[in-house]
Formats: sequence, C-alpha cells, structure tokens
Amino acid sequence: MDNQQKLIDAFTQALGIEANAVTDELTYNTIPQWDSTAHMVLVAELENTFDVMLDTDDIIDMSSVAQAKLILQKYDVNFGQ
Amino acid sequence: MTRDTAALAIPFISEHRNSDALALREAQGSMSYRQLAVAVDARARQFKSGLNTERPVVLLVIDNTISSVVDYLAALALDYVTLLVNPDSSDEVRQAYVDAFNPHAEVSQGEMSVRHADKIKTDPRVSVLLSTSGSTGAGKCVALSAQNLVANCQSILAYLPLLPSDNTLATLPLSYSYGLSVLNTHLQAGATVCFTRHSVFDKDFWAQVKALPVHSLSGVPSFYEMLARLRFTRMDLPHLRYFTQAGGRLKPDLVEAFAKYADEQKKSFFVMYGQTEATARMAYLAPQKVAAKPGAIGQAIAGGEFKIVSDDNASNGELFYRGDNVMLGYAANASELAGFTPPEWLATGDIASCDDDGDYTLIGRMKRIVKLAGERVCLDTVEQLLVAVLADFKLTQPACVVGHDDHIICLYSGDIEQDRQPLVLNALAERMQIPKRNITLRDGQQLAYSTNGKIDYARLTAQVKEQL
Repeated sequence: MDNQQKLIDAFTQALGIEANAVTDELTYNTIPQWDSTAHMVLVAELENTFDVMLDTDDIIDMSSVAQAKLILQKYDVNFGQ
Repeated sequence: MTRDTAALAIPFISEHRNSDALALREAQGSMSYRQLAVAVDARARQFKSGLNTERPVVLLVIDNTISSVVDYLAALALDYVTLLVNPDSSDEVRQAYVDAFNPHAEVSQGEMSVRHADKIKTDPRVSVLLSTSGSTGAGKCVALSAQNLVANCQSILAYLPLLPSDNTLATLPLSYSYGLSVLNTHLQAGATVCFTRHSVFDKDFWAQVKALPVHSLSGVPSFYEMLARLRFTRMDLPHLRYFTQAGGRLKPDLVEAFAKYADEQKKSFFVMYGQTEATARMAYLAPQKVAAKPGAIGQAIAGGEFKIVSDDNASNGELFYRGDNVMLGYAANASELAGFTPPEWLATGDIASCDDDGDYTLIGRMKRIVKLAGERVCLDTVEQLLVAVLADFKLTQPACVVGHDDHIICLYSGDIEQDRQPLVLNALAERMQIPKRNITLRDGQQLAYSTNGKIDYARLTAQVKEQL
C-alpha cells in the first residue's frame, strides 16, 4: 500500500468518515467528526501507521490533510508528488 | 436605605466587592471583582423587573462566558431555583427540561424570556439543579442547596494550593459540577478564571497558557489523554503549579506518567473523586502519594466522611459518603421541587476498598453506568437502543451491552454478515449519540445468564475485559 492510501486509511479510521471525504482541503474542527478527541485518535493512528513520534508543535500544526502530509514529510514519509 | 437599593449579598464574591483584581477573562475582555459585583447587581435588577414571581424556577443556559457567570451569580443572589443547562445540549433536551420543570423563565447570556408567573412550590433550600446525564438525554436533576455549594467550595479550598494571584483556564463546561466547582472556588479565593474557545490541539490554547500565564489546569480523563498525546510532560510551563483530574478513572499508567512529571517539575498533581450528587468533590489523593498509588482516590475532603457497606464482611463494598455537600435529593419535574428529605449517607454506587493508610480505591460500579468523556452513560439505556437498532436490521436474537472504562461493548448472540457490520455500527453510533471509536460490536456471542435467567453482566464484563 502506498503512503497516500495509508494516510487516507488512517483518516477514515480515526475520524470515522468515508475515504472520498479525505481531501487535502479537509480541515480540523470544520466537520463534527474531526473534533479534539478525534484529533487525538488521528495522531495515534498516524504515528502507528508511519512508525513516527510526532512533536507537540507538529501535532498542533496538523490542522488539515495537506498539512498532515507536509508534516509527515519532515519525518521522511513521502507522498510522491 | 430601602431593601431594593441595598447591596445584594452575592455568593462567593461578596468579600471581593471592592477589589480591582481580575475575576474573569475571555477573548473579548475581562472584568474585575468590583466590575463583576456591579454587573451582577444590575443583572439582578433587570431579572427582578422582568419576573415578578417569588423564588422563580429559571432555566439558565450557562456558557463559558463572562455574561453567563453574571447570570449565574445574579440568580444565586436572588435565591432563584436555577437549572443549569449546557449550551451544546440539543433542542430536544432543552425542550424536555422545559416540559418537566415548567420554568418561569429561560435565561441565556443576559437575556431573559419570561414564560409564566404561576406559583411553583419549592423547598426553601433548593438553589441549583444540575443534570445527572450528559449529552444522552435530559434525565433527572440533582438538587443542590446554596449551603451545598458553599460547603464544597470551602472543602476544596482547604486542600488545593489555590492563590488569589492565580489564573486558571476553565476548559470544563460550567453546567458540569466539576466545571462549576472550578469557577466557585476561584471566585471565593479572589483568583482569575479565564475562558477559552480553544482545545489543547489549538496553538492559541498554549499561547494563552504561556501568556496569561496559567497556574492551574483541571480536566476529565479524556483531557489528560490528549495532554499525554501532546507530550505534555515534555513541555516547559514554569508558571503551572498544579493540575487536577476528576470525572472518571484515568488509566493508571497515565496517572503514573503525570505524577512523575509533576514530581520532576516541582508541580502537584491532584487525582480526585466526586459526583454531582455531592455537589462535585468527595475525595482527593494527596499529591505525594499519586505515584505510589496510581489507582487510588485517596481520602474524604475536609468535612466529609466515607464508609464501606458490604453484605458479607468483605473488605470491599459500596462506598457511602456523608458531608454538608451531599445533595438535597433528585428532582425529575417541577412537583418534585416541593420538598426534599436529604439522605444522611449518600450511596455513591461505586464499589471501593480501603487500604491501611486509609486511602480508598474504586473497584467498579454497583449500577451499570460508564463515563464517556466525563459524562455518564447508562448501559441499560444504551442496551435498549442496541436492541432497537438491531431490530431495524432484522436482527432479533438476544443482545446486551457491557461497559469497560470508556468503551461500550455491544454483544449480539446471533451472526451479523461481515459487510453489514459497519452499517450497524454507524447506526448505533448515531442512535446512541456516542462516538464510533467508543463502541465495539461483537456478534456470535454466547451470553452468560445467572440462575434466575437474567443476563449475568458481571460475568460478561469479566469475559470482555479478558478479551480486550
């Protein structure tokens, strides 16, 4: 499975939303499913999926799907664009 | 001076009437104690001119805002019977309260809308009504007296290291007994309560913590789970002196991690225990013991007392509490406000044991209630919803629900096709109004029954715990 698909899976799992809802524009606190509790679950899911340990600042900055990709790239997770 | 122009005795802030110290702060502004007293006096006059009823029952939608605190203090000062409602509650829940308690008026952010002026007979002691259930429904209310609020406030101030110069960031709703206790204690101490719209995952939250600066934080287990996820224990927060946890059981490994952090950073971590039925607080564990006893709730607060009642001389049994903060009783509707017979001992519904140091540890619940994000969810209610949802899918074999920590485990004795399981789970989450991540659905389960033919929840819960 490529990283893009893994990322989508992590979001659908953590937020309980459909895969087609996981677009780059999807932003924290703009849908009821992505609230602060779900954000916590999401961070855990991303850390497990990509085997990384995110810093506090990165967790707080991870306010959209696009942002998540940018941050994960800092941890050598590439999305092939 | 006539009675009308005399200064009102405002609970909690009377001593600070002439203080220019900050009482409340929100993004839009702040208010000193002096300004707050003036605002409460004015709000009380406004309420009185609009509502010409003796000891009216009012429904107050209390938000985490300065204006809501003014509403609350004005209602207390006027000796109203005030039902506090969460601003996030649904229209159905609010309507259910209106139907049940027939309030004379509804108040929200300083606006009062009067409904009627008929007489409602109320016990002279009853002051505040708090909901016993969270988002899942209106439910019956806990009736508290002004004396309950004052007593619990004083007991809490006897052990928390709260200073008049403190800022706290109120993250809990004021309609929740724990959140209300944070407000009451800080006002009584002359400290500052700061409100925020941000969660711990927002940059602005931490910017506020550093800039104000914040000296104390309070939260339910999910709050601490978020802090753990954020590597809170690696943050440099020199001004934070103490933090408190209540509202359900925090996993012992997290308790240990926070205790270690507190120890290293010369801060204090208070693990506490309480119920709305006891106004808020019943016990706390001395901070220096937290690392060694991460599962304990400690000892009763000043003025309170515990006893364990068991049928068979067992070392554990149901925990009972006695103190001036024990509620007047429950009220499900307006007629039940007429008179209360407060219990001397409050049956907590929790099973506890006590160690040689006199520290108590909770073992389980007598009744079937679990806490999700600090809010009570009755498993029996959830079970009824499960049966209804399954019936919609033409699944009619026996089913039941057990709880473990913050998880609802739905057990179905028949089989559910693999590809239909997500649909059932979605329907359950929606019907129960519980996040999907807190629900597990298991099919093909053998349900344990007791000898009298009833589902044996204790045995099922033990089995489920083993499987998790």
